Amino acid sequence: MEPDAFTLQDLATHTGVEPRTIRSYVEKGILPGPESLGRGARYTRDTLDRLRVFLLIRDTFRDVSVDQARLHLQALTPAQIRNLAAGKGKVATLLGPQNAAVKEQHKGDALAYLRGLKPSSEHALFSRTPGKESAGIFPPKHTDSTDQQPLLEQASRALATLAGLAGSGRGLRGENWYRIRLTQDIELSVRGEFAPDQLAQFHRIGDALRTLLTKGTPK
Amino acid sequence: MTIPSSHNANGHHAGSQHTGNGPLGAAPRIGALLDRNIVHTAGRSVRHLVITIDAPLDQTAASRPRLPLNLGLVIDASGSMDGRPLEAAKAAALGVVDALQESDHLSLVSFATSAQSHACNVRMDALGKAAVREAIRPLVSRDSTDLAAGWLLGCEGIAERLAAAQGVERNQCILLSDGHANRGECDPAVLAQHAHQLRVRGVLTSTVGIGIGYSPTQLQAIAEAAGGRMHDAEQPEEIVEIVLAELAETLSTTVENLELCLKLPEGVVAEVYGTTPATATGRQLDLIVGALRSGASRRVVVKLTFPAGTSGDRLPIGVAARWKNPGAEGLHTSPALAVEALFGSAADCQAQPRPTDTAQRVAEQWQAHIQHRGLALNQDGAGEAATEFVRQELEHFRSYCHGLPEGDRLTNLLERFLQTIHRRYDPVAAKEMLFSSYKLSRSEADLRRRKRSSTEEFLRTEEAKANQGQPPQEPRRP
Repeated sequence: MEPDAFTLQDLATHTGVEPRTIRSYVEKGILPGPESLGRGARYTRDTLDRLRVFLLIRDTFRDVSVDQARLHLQALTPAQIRNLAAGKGKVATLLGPQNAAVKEQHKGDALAYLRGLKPSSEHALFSRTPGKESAGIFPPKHTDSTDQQPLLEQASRALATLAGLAGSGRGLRGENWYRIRLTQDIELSVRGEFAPDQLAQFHRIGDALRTLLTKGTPK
Repeated sequence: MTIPSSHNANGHHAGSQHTGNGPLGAAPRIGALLDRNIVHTAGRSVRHLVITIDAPLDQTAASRPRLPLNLGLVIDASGSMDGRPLEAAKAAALGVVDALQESDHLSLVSFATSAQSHACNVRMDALGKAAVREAIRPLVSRDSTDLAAGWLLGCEGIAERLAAAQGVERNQCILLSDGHANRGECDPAVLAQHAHQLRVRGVLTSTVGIGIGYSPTQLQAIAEAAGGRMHDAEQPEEIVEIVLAELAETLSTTVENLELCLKLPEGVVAEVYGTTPATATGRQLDLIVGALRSGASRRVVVKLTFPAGTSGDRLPIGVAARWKNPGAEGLHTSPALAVEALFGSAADCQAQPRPTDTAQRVAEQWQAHIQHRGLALNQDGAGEAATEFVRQELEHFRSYCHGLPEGDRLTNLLERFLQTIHRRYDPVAAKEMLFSSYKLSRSEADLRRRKRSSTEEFLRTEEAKANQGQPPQEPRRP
């Protein structure tokens, strides 16, 4: 029987995915972060199950992007994830109809990717907000110190940032909405155009909020 | 990719299931086999996995309307294109406009110091064609080369159409360039990353290198990661024929985004011959093969070095493919082929037969691989490294070729390379040889009609130069 706490290396050994890739999945909000921090950081069985199901989704729907696969994963209930990870049930059966819908929704992925490559000065969000630098809103990359902030503090800061963003987004020409599903019933919606690193930050925020919502007070 | 459990037990060659819909929904035929199955218990045995992919024939193409094309044409208009090359590129663009149908859309971009969009998502009806022709004619050359800006702007036009299109179309960018990118993003690895991201989002790119001064590194990186093809048009008059031929290849493509996935046993080290992009994750190796036109065949050879083991133990290797059929939704996955290696004694290894035709295919791909890698080092000014690389490879290649019909010729070719590769080759000839080995390693046709010098002729010239004591070529800087 497998244990209930896993190191990053354990996750890698169980799934054949490189530790740095797993870490990037955590950063992108695909997987929950560790329960504890530091060298001995431990991940829960839920993380292992989610990673296994995420790989199954990517195997089943080969043309979905990482972001699309993440949406699929978030559409599953904890019980469905546990069952799929244990080899009970088929991803295609559970997610087939949703996959078609997600693909339709993501026909604009290439466009979003290309627009995300443009310098932030060309972004509608920032060009229409004089005096506000993109780096001031979101740091381009996360730092280790952010990782070590308590989840509640991270979420509070994130919410404050989001409030600022929502204000600066007024008057935008487009109506681009990014939706991050937190639970089956709750989602986080953000309007505007964002660079990939900014979207990654949103997913981290989503993680913190999800943890708050599903686990109560974070450790 | 997880290898499906239903696999062919012997696995040496099997057609994959047909899961598509309609004439363009047919599956490629995938085969895989080892040149020799028994590996030594002491370890370090080298075997070659030969994977063959035969694209389905589209026999009904003439009897039904083709898929609409969402095309981006990106033209290098930097200063070095001034004159005949730019005029030829414009002629090629006009030829493309003539060849497109009313249901197609075209985006036209030129780039130099900056990128300019001349037409974005223009429907190719009579009015649209007239407008694009008007946009092409006044194109003039301008300063330096921001290849990335031009290419990405061309892709943006395609992406806009992709986002808005109601039905399924072929989304393809053709990038024509004669020079090294010297502005904007120039790193081939970064360009390849963008190409990969666009490919998985449905936008493919093929590239055409113009003249002798283009950077094959950047154009090759883009074409390979973008699931397209790289072409060479050394002479301006070839540009039109190459661009139109690429358009024809695009329209006759029956398999897109083809990727191979290998599941390797613990301890097995893999190296892919040629230029096929490969990503290893744990014991899995993913290879990007890209697009194949109707009826095309492609061979991929992977060198495998085996660990030590116990006599009689088996080492299963899984091979599966996934691809997209133009005009069909979603990716298809083939049933997995299982190829097995078996641990045995030195005597077992010596006694096992080797299929000559398979070994011959391996030798051809291996020779092209050595030639390509050696030439790339030579052109980077790393003559000593090139010599050492060819020498080490030749040591094993010579014995491998023993007894093969073409073995002596291939070995002799590499021995002559070894004698001259420390001197920097003439860049024009080296580029030609790089291109030839690139095409050979990808089993792709050279679309140019004008005959080029053979490898033997090229080597003869270099040997003559060495004998006459001519100084080697100075490294060329863009």
